[in-house]
Amino acid sequence: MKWKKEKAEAAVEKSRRAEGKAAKLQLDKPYTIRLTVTLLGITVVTALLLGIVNYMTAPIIEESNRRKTEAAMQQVLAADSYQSMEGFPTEEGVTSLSEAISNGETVGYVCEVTSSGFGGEMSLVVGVDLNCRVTGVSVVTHSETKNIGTKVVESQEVLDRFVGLTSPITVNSGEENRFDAVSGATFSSRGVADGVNAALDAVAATVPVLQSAEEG
Amino acid sequence: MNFKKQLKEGLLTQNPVLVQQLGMCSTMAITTSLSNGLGMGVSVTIILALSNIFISLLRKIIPDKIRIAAYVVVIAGFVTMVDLLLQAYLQDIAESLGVFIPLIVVNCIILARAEAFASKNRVLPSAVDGICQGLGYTLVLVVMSVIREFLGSGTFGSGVLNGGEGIRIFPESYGAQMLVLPVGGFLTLGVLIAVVQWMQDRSARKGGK
Repeated sequence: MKWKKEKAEAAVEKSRRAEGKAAKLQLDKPYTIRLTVTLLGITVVTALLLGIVNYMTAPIIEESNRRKTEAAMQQVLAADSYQSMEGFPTEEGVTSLSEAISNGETVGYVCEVTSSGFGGEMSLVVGVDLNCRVTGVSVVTHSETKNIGTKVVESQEVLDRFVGLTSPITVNSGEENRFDAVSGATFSSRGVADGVNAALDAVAATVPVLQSAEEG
Repeated sequence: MNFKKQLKEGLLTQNPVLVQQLGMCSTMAITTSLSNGLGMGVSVTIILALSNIFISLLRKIIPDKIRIAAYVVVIAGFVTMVDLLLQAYLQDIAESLGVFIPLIVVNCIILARAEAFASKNRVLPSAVDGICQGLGYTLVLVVMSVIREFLGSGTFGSGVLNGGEGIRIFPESYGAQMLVLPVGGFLTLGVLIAVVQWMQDRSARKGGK
Protein backbone atom coordinates (compact mmCIF):
# COMPACT_ATOMS: atom_id res chain seq x y z
CA MET A 1 0.00 0.00 0.00
CA LYS A 2 2.94 2.26 0.67
CA TRP A 3 4.12 2.30 -2.98
CA LYS A 4 0.65 3.43 -4.07
CA LYS A 5 0.92 6.46 -1.82
CA GLU A 6 4.42 7.24 -3.14
CA LYS A 7 3.13 7.01 -6.69
CA ALA A 8 0.30 9.44 -5.97
CA GLU A 9 2.68 11.90 -4.35
CA ALA A 10 5.03 11.72 -7.33
CA ALA A 11 2.13 12.47 -9.67
CA VAL A 12 1.12 15.56 -7.70
CA GLU A 13 4.71 16.80 -7.65
CA LYS A 14 4.97 16.28 -11.42
CA SER A 15 1.83 18.26 -12.19
CA ARG A 16 2.97 21.06 -9.90
CA ARG A 17 6.29 21.26 -11.74
CA ALA A 18 4.56 21.31 -15.10
CA GLU A 19 2.37 24.19 -13.99
CA GLY A 20 5.43 26.14 -12.95
CA LYS A 21 7.07 25.48 -16.30
CA ALA A 22 4.00 26.62 -18.21
CA ALA A 23 3.92 29.82 -16.21
CA LYS A 24 7.55 30.55 -17.13
CA LEU A 25 6.96 29.87 -20.80
CA GLN A 26 3.98 32.20 -20.90
CA LEU A 27 4.26 34.26 -24.07
CA ASP A 28 2.83 37.71 -23.95
CA LYS A 29 0.43 38.69 -26.66
CA PRO A 30 2.54 41.10 -28.72
CA TYR A 31 5.34 38.56 -28.99
CA THR A 32 2.98 35.82 -30.09
CA ILE A 33 1.49 38.12 -32.69
CA ARG A 34 4.96 38.98 -33.93
CA LEU A 35 5.83 35.29 -34.25
CA THR A 36 2.67 34.56 -36.18
CA VAL A 37 2.88 37.54 -38.49
CA THR A 38 6.54 36.96 -39.33
CA LEU A 39 6.06 33.32 -40.16
CA LEU A 40 2.94 34.15 -42.14
CA GLY A 41 4.78 36.85 -44.03
CA ILE A 42 7.68 34.57 -44.95
CA THR A 43 5.29 31.84 -46.04
CA VAL A 44 3.19 34.19 -48.16
CA VAL A 45 6.19 35.67 -49.95
CA THR A 46 7.64 32.20 -50.62
CA ALA A 47 4.28 31.00 -51.90
CA LEU A 48 4.01 34.02 -54.21
CA LEU A 49 7.45 33.43 -55.66
CA LEU A 50 6.67 29.75 -56.12
CA GLY A 51 3.43 30.64 -57.85
CA ILE A 52 5.28 32.85 -60.30
CA VAL A 53 7.91 30.24 -61.11
CA ASN A 54 5.24 27.59 -61.49
CA TYR A 55 3.23 29.83 -63.80
CA MET A 56 6.31 30.34 -65.96
CA THR A 57 7.43 26.74 -66.10
CA ALA A 58 4.23 24.69 -66.08
CA PRO A 59 3.41 25.14 -69.77
CA ILE A 60 6.99 24.34 -70.76
CA ILE A 61 7.04 21.20 -68.64
CA GLU A 62 3.69 20.07 -69.97
CA GLU A 63 4.75 20.68 -73.55
CA SER A 64 7.99 18.76 -73.16
CA ASN A 65 6.14 15.84 -71.55
CA ARG A 66 3.64 15.84 -74.37
CA ARG A 67 6.40 15.84 -76.96
CA LYS A 68 8.23 13.03 -75.21
CA THR A 69 5.11 10.90 -75.12
CA GLU A 70 4.30 11.57 -78.74
CA ALA A 71 7.84 10.72 -79.80
CA ALA A 72 7.50 7.46 -77.89
CA MET A 73 4.20 6.75 -79.61
CA GLN A 74 5.73 7.33 -83.01
CA GLN A 75 8.53 4.98 -82.10
CA VAL A 76 6.35 2.07 -80.98
CA LEU A 77 3.71 2.37 -83.68
CA ALA A 78 4.29 4.99 -86.37
CA ALA A 79 1.15 6.70 -87.58
CA ASP A 80 -0.14 9.98 -88.94
CA SER A 81 -2.18 10.77 -85.88
CA TYR A 82 -3.32 9.40 -82.59
CA GLN A 83 -6.84 9.74 -81.36
CA SER A 84 -7.49 9.39 -77.70
CA MET A 85 -10.11 6.84 -76.70
CA GLU A 86 -12.27 6.56 -73.64
CA GLY A 87 -13.73 3.80 -71.55
CA PHE A 88 -10.63 1.67 -71.08
CA PRO A 89 -10.04 -0.23 -67.83
CA THR A 90 -7.75 1.62 -65.47
CA GLU A 91 -7.13 -0.90 -62.69
CA GLU A 92 -3.87 -2.17 -64.05
CA GLY A 93 -2.20 1.22 -64.43
CA VAL A 94 -3.28 2.16 -67.94
CA THR A 95 -3.42 5.94 -68.16
CA SER A 96 -4.38 6.46 -71.77
CA LEU A 97 -5.40 4.58 -74.87
CA SER A 98 -5.23 6.02 -78.36
CA GLU A 99 -6.11 4.84 -81.80
CA ALA A 100 -3.25 5.09 -84.26
CA ILE A 101 -4.56 6.29 -87.61
CA SER A 102 -2.72 6.38 -90.92
CA ASN A 103 -4.31 7.36 -94.19
CA GLY A 104 -7.71 7.45 -92.52
CA GLU A 105 -7.49 3.87 -91.28
CA THR A 106 -6.83 2.45 -87.85
CA VAL A 107 -3.51 0.66 -87.90
CA GLY A 108 -3.36 -0.19 -84.24
CA TYR A 109 -3.47 1.19 -80.73
CA VAL A 110 -1.06 2.97 -78.47
CA CYS A 111 -1.28 2.71 -74.71
CA GLU A 112 0.33 4.66 -71.90
CA VAL A 113 0.84 2.52 -68.80
CA THR A 114 2.46 2.97 -65.44
CA SER A 115 3.93 -0.01 -63.63
CA SER A 116 6.24 -0.67 -60.70
CA GLY A 117 9.87 -1.37 -61.31
CA PHE A 118 12.66 -1.83 -58.82
CA GLY A 119 13.23 1.83 -58.06
CA GLY A 120 9.65 2.97 -58.24
CA GLU A 121 7.08 3.81 -60.85
CA MET A 122 7.91 3.72 -64.50
CA SER A 123 5.78 4.87 -67.37
CA LEU A 124 5.70 2.99 -70.65
CA VAL A 125 4.21 3.49 -74.06
CA VAL A 126 3.12 0.25 -75.72
CA GLY A 127 2.04 -0.18 -79.31
CA VAL A 128 -0.48 -2.91 -80.11
CA ASP A 129 -1.47 -3.97 -83.59
CA LEU A 130 -4.85 -5.15 -84.85
CA ASN A 131 -4.06 -8.74 -83.90
CA CYS A 132 -3.47 -7.70 -80.32
CA ARG A 133 0.26 -8.21 -80.64
CA VAL A 134 2.94 -5.86 -79.37
CA THR A 135 4.50 -3.62 -81.99
CA GLY A 136 6.90 -1.82 -79.71
CA VAL A 137 7.65 -0.79 -76.14
CA SER A 138 9.20 2.46 -75.01
CA VAL A 139 10.05 3.43 -71.44
CA VAL A 140 9.41 7.14 -71.00
CA THR A 141 10.29 7.65 -67.35
CA HIS A 142 11.79 5.34 -64.77
CA SER A 143 13.90 5.26 -61.63
CA GLU A 144 15.78 2.03 -62.17
CA THR A 145 19.31 1.52 -60.95
CA LYS A 146 22.01 2.51 -63.39
CA ASN A 147 23.76 -0.45 -65.05
CA ILE A 148 21.34 -2.90 -63.47
CA GLY A 149 17.72 -2.03 -64.09
CA THR A 150 18.72 0.25 -66.94
CA LYS A 151 19.88 -2.85 -68.80
CA VAL A 152 16.18 -3.51 -69.31
CA VAL A 153 14.50 -0.14 -69.46
CA GLU A 154 17.15 1.72 -71.44
CA SER A 155 17.99 -1.05 -73.85
CA GLN A 156 15.98 -0.95 -77.04
CA GLU A 157 17.32 -4.39 -77.84
CA VAL A 158 15.73 -5.86 -74.72
CA LEU A 159 12.48 -3.94 -75.13
CA ASP A 160 12.23 -5.12 -78.73
CA ARG A 161 11.99 -8.67 -77.45
CA PHE A 162 8.38 -7.89 -76.59
CA VAL A 163 7.49 -7.29 -80.22
CA GLY A 164 5.08 -9.89 -81.58
CA LEU A 165 4.06 -11.23 -78.19
CA THR A 166 0.49 -11.22 -77.01
CA SER A 167 -1.25 -11.47 -73.68
CA PRO A 168 -0.51 -13.13 -71.27
CA ILE A 169 3.23 -12.58 -71.38
CA THR A 170 5.01 -14.75 -68.83
CA VAL A 171 8.44 -13.98 -67.47
CA ASN A 172 10.98 -16.82 -67.39
CA SER A 173 8.29 -19.46 -67.82
CA GLY A 174 5.97 -20.90 -70.40
CA GLU A 175 6.50 -21.44 -74.07
CA GLU A 176 4.39 -19.03 -76.05
CA ASN A 177 4.62 -15.34 -75.18
CA ARG A 178 7.65 -15.91 -73.00
CA PHE A 179 9.92 -13.06 -72.00
CA ASP A 180 13.26 -13.94 -70.49
CA ALA A 181 14.22 -11.47 -67.79
CA VAL A 182 17.65 -9.86 -67.93
CA SER A 183 19.70 -11.67 -65.31
CA GLY A 184 20.18 -9.55 -62.20
CA ALA A 185 17.35 -7.24 -63.21
CA THR A 186 14.30 -9.39 -62.60
CA PHE A 187 12.25 -6.70 -60.88
CA SER A 188 12.78 -4.27 -63.70
CA SER A 189 12.02 -6.96 -66.27
CA ARG A 190 8.82 -7.93 -64.49
CA GLY A 191 7.84 -4.29 -64.20
CA VAL A 192 8.04 -3.80 -67.93
CA ALA A 193 6.26 -7.12 -68.61
CA ASP A 194 3.45 -6.16 -66.22
CA GLY A 195 3.02 -2.87 -68.02
CA VAL A 196 2.92 -4.54 -71.42
CA ASN A 197 0.39 -7.09 -70.23
CA ALA A 198 -1.79 -4.33 -68.81
CA ALA A 199 -1.66 -2.52 -72.13
CA LEU A 200 -2.61 -5.65 -74.08
CA ASP A 201 -5.49 -6.38 -71.72
CA ALA A 202 -6.75 -2.82 -71.92
CA VAL A 203 -6.73 -2.84 -75.70
CA ALA A 204 -8.48 -6.21 -75.80
CA ALA A 205 -11.10 -5.05 -73.33
CA THR A 206 -11.87 -1.80 -75.11
CA VAL A 207 -11.82 -2.74 -78.74
CA PRO A 208 -14.62 -5.24 -79.43
CA VAL A 209 -13.16 -6.45 -82.69
CA LEU A 210 -9.99 -7.52 -80.96
CA GLN A 211 -11.88 -9.39 -78.29
CA SER A 212 -13.16 -11.89 -80.80
CA ALA A 213 -9.74 -12.10 -82.43
CA GLU A 214 -8.28 -13.04 -79.04
CA GLU A 215 -10.85 -15.71 -78.42
CA GLY A 216 -10.24 -17.07 -81.88
CA MET B 1 35.30 37.98 -44.24
CA ASN B 2 38.25 36.16 -45.64
CA PHE B 3 37.42 34.49 -48.92
CA LYS B 4 40.52 32.32 -49.00
CA LYS B 5 39.90 31.10 -45.48
CA GLN B 6 36.27 30.32 -46.17
CA LEU B 7 37.21 28.50 -49.36
CA LYS B 8 39.80 26.38 -47.58
CA GLU B 9 37.30 25.61 -44.85
CA GLY B 10 34.57 24.69 -47.28
CA LEU B 11 36.78 22.46 -49.37
CA LEU B 12 38.85 20.83 -46.70
CA THR B 13 39.06 21.72 -43.04
CA GLN B 14 35.32 22.20 -42.55
CA ASN B 15 34.17 20.12 -45.48
CA PRO B 16 30.43 19.59 -44.99
CA VAL B 17 30.49 15.89 -45.82
CA LEU B 18 33.89 14.65 -44.73
CA VAL B 19 34.44 16.76 -41.62
CA GLN B 20 31.06 18.04 -40.48
CA GLN B 21 29.50 14.80 -41.69
CA LEU B 22 26.33 16.37 -43.03
CA GLY B 23 24.35 15.48 -46.13
CA MET B 24 25.78 11.98 -46.25
CA CYS B 25 22.63 10.25 -47.49
CA SER B 26 22.52 12.12 -50.74
CA THR B 27 26.27 11.79 -51.15
CA MET B 28 26.11 8.02 -50.99
CA ALA B 29 23.00 7.66 -53.08
CA ILE B 30 23.81 9.96 -55.97
CA THR B 31 27.47 9.30 -56.70
CA THR B 32 27.15 6.51 -59.23
CA SER B 33 28.11 8.56 -62.25
CA LEU B 34 29.93 11.80 -62.92
CA SER B 35 26.94 13.62 -64.36
CA ASN B 36 24.82 12.77 -61.33
CA GLY B 37 27.52 13.96 -58.96
CA LEU B 38 28.14 17.22 -60.82
CA GLY B 39 24.45 17.96 -61.34
CA MET B 40 23.58 17.40 -57.71
CA GLY B 41 26.62 19.33 -56.47
CA VAL B 42 25.83 22.37 -58.60
CA SER B 43 22.15 22.30 -57.62
CA VAL B 44 22.94 22.12 -53.91
CA THR B 45 25.54 24.91 -54.24
CA ILE B 46 23.03 27.21 -55.89
CA ILE B 47 20.33 26.50 -53.33
CA LEU B 48 22.81 26.80 -50.47
CA ALA B 49 23.99 30.22 -51.68
CA LEU B 50 20.45 31.49 -52.29
CA SER B 51 19.06 30.27 -49.01
CA ASN B 52 22.05 31.63 -47.08
CA ILE B 53 21.54 35.03 -48.73
CA PHE B 54 17.86 35.20 -47.89
CA ILE B 55 18.18 33.86 -44.38
CA SER B 56 20.95 36.35 -43.72
CA LEU B 57 18.75 39.16 -45.07
CA LEU B 58 15.94 38.04 -42.78
CA ARG B 59 18.08 37.24 -39.77
CA LYS B 60 17.01 40.31 -37.81
CA ILE B 61 13.35 39.72 -38.57
CA ILE B 62 13.01 36.02 -37.82
CA PRO B 63 12.29 35.53 -34.11
CA ASP B 64 14.40 32.94 -32.42
CA LYS B 65 11.52 30.66 -31.43
CA ILE B 66 10.30 30.01 -34.96
CA ARG B 67 13.61 30.12 -36.77
CA ILE B 68 13.69 26.46 -37.80
CA ALA B 69 10.19 26.66 -39.25
CA ALA B 70 11.13 29.83 -41.13
CA TYR B 71 14.36 28.31 -42.49
CA VAL B 72 12.53 25.23 -43.71
CA VAL B 73 9.93 27.35 -45.53
CA VAL B 74 12.63 29.36 -47.28
CA ILE B 75 14.70 26.29 -48.17
CA ALA B 76 11.71 24.27 -49.37
CA GLY B 77 10.60 27.23 -51.48
CA PHE B 78 13.96 27.54 -53.20
CA VAL B 79 14.30 23.82 -53.78
CA THR B 80 10.90 23.65 -55.40
CA MET B 81 11.75 26.60 -57.63
CA VAL B 82 15.03 25.00 -58.71
CA ASP B 83 13.19 21.72 -59.30
CA LEU B 84 10.62 23.39 -61.56
CA LEU B 85 13.26 25.36 -63.45
CA LEU B 86 15.33 22.21 -64.01
CA GLN B 87 12.32 20.29 -65.27
CA ALA B 88 11.49 23.07 -67.68
CA TYR B 89 14.92 24.00 -69.03
CA LEU B 90 17.30 21.11 -68.26
CA GLN B 91 15.16 17.98 -68.51
CA ASP B 92 18.03 15.49 -68.76
CA ILE B 93 19.58 16.56 -65.50
CA ALA B 94 16.15 16.71 -63.86
CA GLU B 95 15.53 13.13 -64.94
CA SER B 96 18.79 11.67 -63.66
CA LEU B 97 18.55 13.50 -60.35
CA GLY B 98 14.90 12.49 -60.11
CA VAL B 99 13.70 12.27 -56.55
CA PHE B 100 16.92 13.68 -55.10
CA ILE B 101 16.11 17.28 -55.93
CA PRO B 102 13.11 17.45 -53.59
CA LEU B 103 15.26 15.64 -51.03
CA ILE B 104 17.63 18.62 -50.94
CA VAL B 105 15.04 20.22 -48.65
CA VAL B 106 16.11 17.89 -45.86
CA ASN B 107 19.78 17.98 -46.80
CA CYS B 108 21.31 18.75 -43.44
CA ILE B 109 24.02 20.93 -44.92
CA ILE B 110 21.57 23.66 -45.88
CA LEU B 111 19.80 23.80 -42.55
CA ALA B 112 23.10 23.55 -40.68
CA ARG B 113 24.70 26.44 -42.56
CA ALA B 114 21.57 28.53 -42.12
CA GLU B 115 21.69 27.95 -38.39
CA ALA B 116 25.45 28.12 -37.90
CA PHE B 117 26.37 30.90 -40.27
CA ALA B 118 23.70 32.73 -42.24
CA SER B 119 21.61 33.59 -39.20
CA LYS B 120 24.59 35.25 -37.54
CA ASN B 121 26.45 36.95 -40.37
CA ARG B 122 25.93 39.59 -43.01
CA VAL B 123 24.71 38.82 -46.49
CA LEU B 124 27.95 38.79 -48.45
CA PRO B 125 29.87 36.49 -46.07
CA SER B 126 26.82 34.24 -45.94
CA ALA B 127 26.66 34.04 -49.71
CA VAL B 128 30.37 33.23 -49.86
CA ASP B 129 29.93 30.63 -47.15
CA GLY B 130 27.12 29.03 -49.12
CA ILE B 131 29.23 28.87 -52.26
CA CYS B 132 32.32 27.53 -50.48
CA GLN B 133 30.44 24.87 -48.57
CA GLY B 134 28.62 23.96 -51.75
CA LEU B 135 31.93 23.64 -53.58
CA GLY B 136 33.22 21.38 -50.81
CA TYR B 137 30.14 19.21 -51.18
CA THR B 138 30.52 19.13 -54.96
CA LEU B 139 34.18 18.20 -54.62
CA VAL B 140 33.29 15.20 -52.48
CA LEU B 141 30.53 14.18 -54.88
CA VAL B 142 32.84 14.37 -57.88
CA VAL B 143 35.65 12.43 -56.18
CA MET B 144 33.25 9.73 -55.02
CA SER B 145 31.52 9.51 -58.39
CA VAL B 146 34.80 9.10 -60.21
CA ILE B 147 36.03 6.41 -57.80
CA ARG B 148 32.81 4.43 -57.70
CA GLU B 149 32.19 4.68 -61.41
CA PHE B 150 35.74 3.74 -62.35
CA LEU B 151 36.15 0.79 -60.00
CA GLY B 152 32.53 -0.26 -60.22
CA SER B 153 31.77 -0.17 -63.92
CA GLY B 154 35.03 0.68 -65.60
CA THR B 155 34.06 4.01 -67.14
CA PHE B 156 35.01 7.61 -66.55
CA GLY B 157 32.73 10.53 -67.09
CA SER B 158 29.48 8.71 -67.56
CA GLY B 159 26.73 11.07 -68.61
CA VAL B 160 29.16 13.86 -69.44
CA LEU B 161 31.88 12.60 -71.77
CA ASN B 162 31.68 10.58 -74.93
CA GLY B 163 28.08 11.49 -75.63
CA GLY B 164 26.82 10.19 -72.32
CA GLU B 165 28.59 6.86 -72.42
CA GLY B 166 31.78 7.87 -70.68
CA ILE B 167 35.26 6.74 -71.59
CA ARG B 168 35.54 3.03 -71.01
CA ILE B 169 38.75 2.18 -69.20
CA PHE B 170 38.25 -1.51 -68.72
CA PRO B 171 35.46 -3.92 -69.64
CA GLU B 172 32.43 -3.81 -67.45
CA SER B 173 32.67 -7.42 -66.33
CA TYR B 174 35.92 -6.63 -64.50
CA GLY B 175 34.29 -3.98 -62.37
CA ALA B 176 33.33 -4.45 -58.73
CA GLN B 177 29.64 -3.87 -59.26
CA MET B 178 29.11 -3.70 -55.52
CA LEU B 179 30.65 -0.23 -55.59
CA VAL B 180 27.78 1.28 -57.56
CA LEU B 181 25.29 -0.15 -55.10
CA PRO B 182 24.53 1.50 -51.73
CA VAL B 183 27.13 -0.74 -50.05
CA GLY B 184 29.80 0.83 -52.19
CA GLY B 185 28.58 4.28 -51.21
CA PHE B 186 29.12 3.55 -47.52
CA LEU B 187 32.52 2.00 -48.13
CA THR B 188 33.83 4.78 -50.36
CA LEU B 189 32.59 7.52 -48.07
CA GLY B 190 34.09 5.78 -45.06
CA VAL B 191 37.48 5.53 -46.72
CA LEU B 192 37.37 9.18 -47.80
CA ILE B 193 36.51 10.34 -44.27
CA ALA B 194 39.36 8.25 -42.90
CA VAL B 195 41.79 9.83 -45.38
CA VAL B 196 40.74 13.36 -44.47
CA GLN B 197 40.93 12.59 -40.74
CA TRP B 198 44.44 11.25 -41.23
CA MET B 199 45.44 14.39 -43.16
CA GLN B 200 44.04 16.62 -40.44
CA ASP B 201 45.74 14.62 -37.68
CA ARG B 202 49.04 14.87 -39.49
CA SER B 203 48.81 18.63 -39.99
CA ALA B 204 47.71 19.08 -36.37
CA ARG B 205 50.73 17.12 -35.14
CA LYS B 206 53.03 19.11 -37.41
CA GLY B 207 51.49 22.37 -36.20
CA GLY B 208 51.77 21.26 -32.57
CA LYS B 209 55.49 20.69 -32.96
